[in-house]
Amino acid sequence: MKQILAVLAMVMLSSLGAVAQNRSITGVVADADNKGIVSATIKVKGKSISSITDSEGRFAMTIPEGKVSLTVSSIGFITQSIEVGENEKNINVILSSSVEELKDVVITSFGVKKQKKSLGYAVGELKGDDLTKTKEINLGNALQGKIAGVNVSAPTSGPSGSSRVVIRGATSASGLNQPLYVVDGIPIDNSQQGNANMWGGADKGDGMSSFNPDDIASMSVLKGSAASALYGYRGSNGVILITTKKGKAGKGIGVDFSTNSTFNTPINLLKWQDQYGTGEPLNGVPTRYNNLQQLRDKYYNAWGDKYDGTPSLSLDGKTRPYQAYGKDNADNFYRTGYSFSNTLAVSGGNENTNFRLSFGNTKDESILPGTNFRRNNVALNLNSRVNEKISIEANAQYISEKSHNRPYLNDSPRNASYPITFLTPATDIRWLSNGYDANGGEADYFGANTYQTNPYFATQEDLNNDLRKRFIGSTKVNYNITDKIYAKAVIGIDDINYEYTEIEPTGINYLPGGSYENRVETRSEVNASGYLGYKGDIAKDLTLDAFVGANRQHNRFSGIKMKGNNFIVPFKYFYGNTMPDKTEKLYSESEVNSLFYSADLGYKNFLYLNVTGREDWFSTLNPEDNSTFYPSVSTSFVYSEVINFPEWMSYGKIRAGWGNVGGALPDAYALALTYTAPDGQTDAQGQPILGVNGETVPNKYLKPYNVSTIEFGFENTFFNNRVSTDLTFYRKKTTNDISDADISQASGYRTTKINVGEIQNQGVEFAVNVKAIKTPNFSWNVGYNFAYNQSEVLSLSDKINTKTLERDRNSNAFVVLEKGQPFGIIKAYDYLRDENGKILLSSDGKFMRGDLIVAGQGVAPTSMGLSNDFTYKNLTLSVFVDAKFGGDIYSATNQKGTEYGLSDNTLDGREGGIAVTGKDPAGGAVNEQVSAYDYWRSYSDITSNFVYNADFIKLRAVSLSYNFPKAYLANSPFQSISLAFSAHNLWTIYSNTPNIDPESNYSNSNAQGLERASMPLTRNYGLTLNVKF
Amino acid sequence: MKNKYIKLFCIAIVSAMTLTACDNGFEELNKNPNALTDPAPKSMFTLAEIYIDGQDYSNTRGNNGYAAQIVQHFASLGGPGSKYIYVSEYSGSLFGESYGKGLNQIFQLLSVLPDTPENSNMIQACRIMKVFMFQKLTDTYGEIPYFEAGKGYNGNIFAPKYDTQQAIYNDLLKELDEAGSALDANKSFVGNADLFYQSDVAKWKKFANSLMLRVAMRLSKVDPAKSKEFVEKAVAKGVFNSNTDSAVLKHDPSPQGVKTNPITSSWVMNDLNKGEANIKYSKTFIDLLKNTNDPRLRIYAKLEASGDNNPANQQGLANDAKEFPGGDKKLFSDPNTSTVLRLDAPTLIMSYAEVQFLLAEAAVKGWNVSGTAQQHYEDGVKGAMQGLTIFGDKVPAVTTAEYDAYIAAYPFKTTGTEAQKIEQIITQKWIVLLFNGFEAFSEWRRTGYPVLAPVNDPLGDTNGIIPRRLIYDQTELITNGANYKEAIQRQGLDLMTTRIWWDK
Repeated sequence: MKQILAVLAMVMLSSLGAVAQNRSITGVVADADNKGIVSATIKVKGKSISSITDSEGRFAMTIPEGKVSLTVSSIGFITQSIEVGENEKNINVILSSSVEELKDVVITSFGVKKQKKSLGYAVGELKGDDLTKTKEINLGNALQGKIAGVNVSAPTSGPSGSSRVVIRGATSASGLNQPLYVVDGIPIDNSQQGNANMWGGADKGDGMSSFNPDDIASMSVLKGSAASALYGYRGSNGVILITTKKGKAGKGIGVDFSTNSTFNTPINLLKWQDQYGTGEPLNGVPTRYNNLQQLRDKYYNAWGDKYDGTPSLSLDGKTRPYQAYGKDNADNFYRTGYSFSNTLAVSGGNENTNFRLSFGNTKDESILPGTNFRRNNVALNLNSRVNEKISIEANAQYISEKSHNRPYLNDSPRNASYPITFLTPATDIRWLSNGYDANGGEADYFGANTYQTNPYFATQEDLNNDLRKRFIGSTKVNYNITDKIYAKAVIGIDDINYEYTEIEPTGINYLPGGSYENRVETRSEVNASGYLGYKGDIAKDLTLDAFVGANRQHNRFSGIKMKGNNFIVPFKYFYGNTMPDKTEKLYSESEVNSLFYSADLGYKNFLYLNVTGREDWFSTLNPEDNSTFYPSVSTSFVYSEVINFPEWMSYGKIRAGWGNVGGALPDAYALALTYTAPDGQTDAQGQPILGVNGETVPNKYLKPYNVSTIEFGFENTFFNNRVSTDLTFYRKKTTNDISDADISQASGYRTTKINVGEIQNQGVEFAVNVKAIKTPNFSWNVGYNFAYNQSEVLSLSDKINTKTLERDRNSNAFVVLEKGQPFGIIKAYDYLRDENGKILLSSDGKFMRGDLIVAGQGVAPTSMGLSNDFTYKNLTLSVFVDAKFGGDIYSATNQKGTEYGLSDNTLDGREGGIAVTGKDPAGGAVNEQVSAYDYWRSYSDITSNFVYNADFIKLRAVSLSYNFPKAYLANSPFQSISLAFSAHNLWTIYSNTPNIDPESNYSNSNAQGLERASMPLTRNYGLTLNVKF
Repeated sequence: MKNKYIKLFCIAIVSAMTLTACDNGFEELNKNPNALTDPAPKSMFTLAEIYIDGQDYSNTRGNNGYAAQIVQHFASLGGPGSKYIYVSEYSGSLFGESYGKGLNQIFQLLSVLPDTPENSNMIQACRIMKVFMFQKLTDTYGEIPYFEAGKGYNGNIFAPKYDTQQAIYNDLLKELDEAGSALDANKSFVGNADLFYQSDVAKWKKFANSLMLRVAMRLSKVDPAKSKEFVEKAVAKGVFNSNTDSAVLKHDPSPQGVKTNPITSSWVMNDLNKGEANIKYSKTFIDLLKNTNDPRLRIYAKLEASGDNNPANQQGLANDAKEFPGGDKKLFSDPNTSTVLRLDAPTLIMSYAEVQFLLAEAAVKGWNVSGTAQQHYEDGVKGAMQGLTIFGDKVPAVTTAEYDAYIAAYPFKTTGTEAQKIEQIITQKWIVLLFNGFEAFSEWRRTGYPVLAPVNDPLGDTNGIIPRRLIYDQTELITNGANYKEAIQRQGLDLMTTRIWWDK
C-alpha cells in the first residue's frame, strides 16, 4: 500500500514538468446560481480535444492557437457554444438548466459528485441552512425527522450528550447500528464514550458533538448497501457524508458572523397526587411519622395519612402544616438553561486558490444546575489549483470540548433527577437545599437509602469532568493525467485526546471515603488512499466514469485508567491523595487494507449502470480467513427522456440497486482467551495472581457481519417541477450477525460471540415536495417525508433464541431480541393467569406476577416529518412537525410512582379499599376488600402495565427569519443581515405517556425503550443573527 | 512520457492486488501487548483460592444481605434477609459470581493443566475447591447446572442442564473421596502460591475429609444411611485436629478488590457510613452472647460510632424492627472494625471448631466417629474461642479461664434428649459460622436450630415463613429458560419457601 502511494506521489511530482503545447486556457463552468458544475465537458469543435471540469467546475486545457470555438455541455444543462478569442486565457461559462430541478449533483461514496439522475439508489440530502435553522449543538440530532428512513433519538442528557441515528432499522444485535460519518472524505470516529446503563452512569457523549453546524455545507445520507458498498465493512448502517464549507473566489475577503442565544426551559410533566403524605401503612393503617429517621427512610413512599393541615414533621426536621408542598419540585429545582454560540468565518481567494477559516465557540449551561459544556472550533479549508493538471485541497479542524458534571441518568447514585422524581409531594425540594452536613459531607435526608444522593449536593460537587481535544485533517491531491484520466491521493487523520475524571466526593453517603477515577485516552484513525480514474466517452452515446483504488486504515487506541479510593486528606480530589485501587492500561491497534473499484456506465442521458467492488483485509481476524469481498450493482432509467408524457409530468425515473456490505469488525486480540491480573491487582499476600480475562467466550472464527440490501425507487416531478416525489422500497437482510448473546452464567461466561444471527428490515420511504405557491413576493413550500421500517429478528443462533440488550434496574422490564419478533422488543411481567387467560389473584386478593410477555417494541417503526416554509418578501416562517408511531417505552417512573403511591391512580381505594373478586391459583374463590396499598403495590408488580405506547406528534421547530433588504444595506459595510427567531419542542400535539415524555430513553444503545427518573426534555427559544461583510 | 507513468501506476495497483499480500504483518499486529495468552498455573491457583469463598458482590448481597440476616446473625430495617423480601440482584448474586469467578477459574485451570504427576496435587486441590463452591451453590438454590457447567469455553455449552441435587451430592462425595486419596506428599505442589496451607499436602487431605464431613452430614435428614457412611469415612480418613488445620484465607488491607476480605470490604467502605451501618448485629445474636456472658462478644462487636466494645453496652437490632428503637442507630452494635470487620480480616473457609461440632452431632447420632459428643462439643467451643486469635490482638483474646468458666456455666447437656443435644451443638456452630451466613442458613434448614422467630413484614414475600432457599438469578429465565423450567418442574416453584431435596 505504501508503495502505491509512493508511486502516486511520484507520478504527480514528475508531471509538474510536463510542458503544454499550443496555448492553454483555464476557466470555470457554473450554473445560474454561480455554483461550479462538476464534470462538464468542454470540447474544441471539430477536434478531438476536450476537458472535463473538476468538482468546483474549473477546467484547464490546451487549445490550438488562434480563434477557437468550444462546446460546453453537461448532463441536465443546455449545451452552449463559446468563441474563444485569440488572446483570451480565461473564460467563464454559465450553463442554464435543461430541467430546472435536475441540476442536482449529489455527493456519493468517497466524495464523488454525481448527477442525481444517474443514481440507482436513494441518497438523502440536507443543506447547511436546514441544520442551522434551529440550532442543535449535536449534529446528529439535527437530522431528526428531516430525511425519510433516518431515525434519530437522543437520551435525555442534554445538548452535550450523544445522539442515536439509525438508518432503515438496526442491522445487528451487537453492533452500534449507527452510520459511518465521513467528513470531507475522511472517516471519523463516532465512538460512544459511555452510556447510562441499568446501574446508572452518565451519557458521556459521542463523536458527533464535536462539529460546529455553522461549518457544515451539506450532509448526504447514503442509506442502502448499494450506496454505501464502497465503504465495505463499514457500510452496514449507511454512511453520512459531511461536506464542510469552502472558500469562494470573490472580491476581497468575505466575513460571515453568526451568533445565537438559546434559552432552554424544562418541560415538567410529573403530576403526582397531592392528597396523601409520606408514610407506609402499619398493620393496614396509614401512618404519619413523628420520627425523623423513619420519615427519611420513607421519603419516596406516599402511602401515608391524608393531608389535613395539622402540624407535622417534615423531612428537614421542621414542623409544618401537613399538606403537599412539592408539586413544583421540578420547576423549583431545575433552572432555565441557555446556550450561546458564535461563529466567525473569513473566506476569500482567486481563481487558483481560495480559503475559508472559521472560529466557533459554544457555551451551554444545562437546566441541571452546575452542568455545562464548552466547545471551541477552528476550521480551515484550502483549495488550490497548482497548475492546469494539479489541484490540492486541504482541510483542518481543531476542536476542544469540555464538559462539567454530565448528568447521571437512570439509577439513583449521583442522579439529581431521582429525588426530584420520587420525593413525595409532602416535601418541598428546596428544604433540602443545604446539601451539606456539619462535616462538609452529604446531608442525609434519605435515611437508609444511602445510594440516593441529595440533589443539591450532587449538583454543587465536582462529579465528573471531561476534556476532548481533537484534530481532523485531510489532504487531497488531484492530478489530471489526461483530460480523461486522473489520479488522486487522499490522506486523512482523526486524532482524539480525551481525559475523563470521575469523582465520588468525600462524604457522599454511599461511599464516605470517596473515590477518584481518571482516564486518559488517545485514539486515532489514519486513512491513506490512492485512486486512478477514467472519465469520458468510450463510444458513441456511452460514457464511463470509473476508478480503481486502494486504502489503508490504521486505528490505534491507547489509554490509562487509574482508580483510587478513600481520600487521604478529605475534600482534596486528586489521584495522589487516594489509596490506589487499580491502574489499567488499555491498548489496541488494528489495520484494514482495501482495494476497490467503481464503474459507472451511462447510455445517452437516460440509462445508467453502476458496479462497485471492494475487498477488505482485517488484522483482527484469524489469518486463515481474514478478508471479505463487498460488491454492488445499481441502475437508473430516466424513462421520461424516452417516452413522451403529457405536459404535467415533467420527469420520471426508476432505479434499482443491490449491494453487500459489512459491519462490526471484531475487536483486536479477541481470537483467544487471555489472562490478566484481576481488577488490575497483581498480587495477594505477596503471591502473584492471574485470572481469566473477560466474561466473553472468545471465538477465533469471528468475522464482520454481512448486510445486503435490495432497493427500488421511483422519482417523479409534475407540473413543471412544482411537485416532486421520491418513493423507495427496500429490503435489507443481515446474515452472519455477531451474536454476542447472553449465555447462562453457569457456563462460566456471560456472553459469547458467534456469526449466526439473521435480521431483516424492510420498508418504504416516501418524500414529496410541493411548491404550493410561487409568486414573486410570496411562496409556500411543503415538504413531507414518511418512513416505515419493519424489522424482524430471523435468528439469533441455533442455541439461543433470546438475547437481553438491557434490563431495567429492578429487572422489571427487559429489552430483548427474540426470534420472530421486531428488533428490540420490551418484555415485562404479565398477571398470573389461568389456562384460559383469566387473571388469578392471591388468596388475600392481590395480583400476582405471571410470565414475561412481549409488551411492546422500543423503536418506532413509523416516522415522519412535515415542513412548511412560507416566504413573504424577506420574511420566512418555517414550521416543522415530526412524529413517530408504533414504538413503546417502559416507564419505571410510572411503575415506581404506582408502587410508591405517588401516581394519581393510586388515590383510588385509599379510603375503604377496593373490592376484588376472582380465583386463586388453587381454584378457590377470592372475594376480598383489598387496601389501596396492597392493591396498587401488587398492580405495580405487573410491570407490563407500565409499558406505554410512545407515539407522538410534536411541533418540533418553528422559526421566523428576516433578511434585511439589500437596498437598506447599500450604503453600509454589510452585504447581508438576517435575524431569526426559533423555538424548539414547542408543543407536544399528541402523546400517551403519563408523567414522562415519550422520548425519554436513558440510553443511546441498541436497548431503546427504557425510562427511569428521566431529566425533563427542554423547550428552547433562540435568536440568531447572521451578518455578512 | 505520460503513458509511461500511467503504466507504472497501473502496474503498482495490479501488483498490490496480486503480488503484495494485503495482510502483511497482520498476525504480529494482532498480538495483545497487554495480556498473557499463556496461563501461569500457580498464579491462577492462588486466585482460585481467593475466589472460592466469593467476592464482594455475592458476599454483600447473598451472604450479608440475605443468608446472614435470615439466620439472624445480622439485621437491618429494610434488609431483604431480615424481612424475607425478594430482591433479584441480591438473590441471584451468588449464582452468577460463583460460576463466573471461582468455578470458571478452576475449570479453566483444570483445562490447561496437563494430567501429569507434577500437576496432580494442584489438580486434586482444584477438585476440592470445586466441591466447596458447588455445595454452597446447590445448598442455596437447590438444583443447579453441575455436570455441564463451566464448559462455555471448553465445550461451547452455553445453556447447561440443571442436575438434581441428589446427583450433585453423589458426585461431590465421590470427588472428595478421590481427590483426598490422590493427594500425595511425595509429589510437587505449588509452594507458597497455596495461601491456605503453603502446600502442606497432609493438611489438604484433612481439608478434603473435613469438607466430606460437612457434605455428608447435610444428608442426615434426606438420606441418613448415606450420611452416616460418608461421615464415618471422612473421620476414618482423617479430619482437622486443631485450629492450625483450619482453612484460613488471609487478606491484604488494600482498599478494595480481590485482595481484601470480600465479606467486610463493602461494609467498611460503603455501609459503615460515619460509624453508622445500616446492617447491625441481630438482637438474636447479641442477646444469646450477652445472656451467656460469652467472652467472644468483646471481639465480635463494637458500637462503631463511639468505639465502645464493652459487652454490657452491646445491643442488637430485632430482625422485625421497622425503626431503631429509641431512634438512634449509633446505640446498636456493629461488627468490630478492629477485629472481624477489618479489610484484612482473614476469612474462615472451614474451621476446626465446625468439624468438632459435626463430630459431636455424629456422636449424638451414635455414629462411629470415636470420642464422645461432649468431648467434641467442648473441643469445638474451645477451638472456636481460641481460634479468634486470627483476628489479631487489638482486643484481648479469650483466656482458658474464661473458656472454663463458660463451659462450667453452660456444660454439654449429656443427659438431655437427642434434640436438645443437637440444638446445643448447632447453636454453637451458628456462632462460629458468623460471617458465613450461607453455611449457617443450610444448617438451620437441616436441623431447625437455632430456633428463630419468623418475621412477618408487610413487604415480605413469604407470608412470614422463613426462607428455605434463594431464588435463582433471573437471567437464567432468558439465557437458559428450557433447563431452568425443567428444574422448576422437578423441584417446585422458584420461590424462597420451596424446600430443596435434602431439606424435605
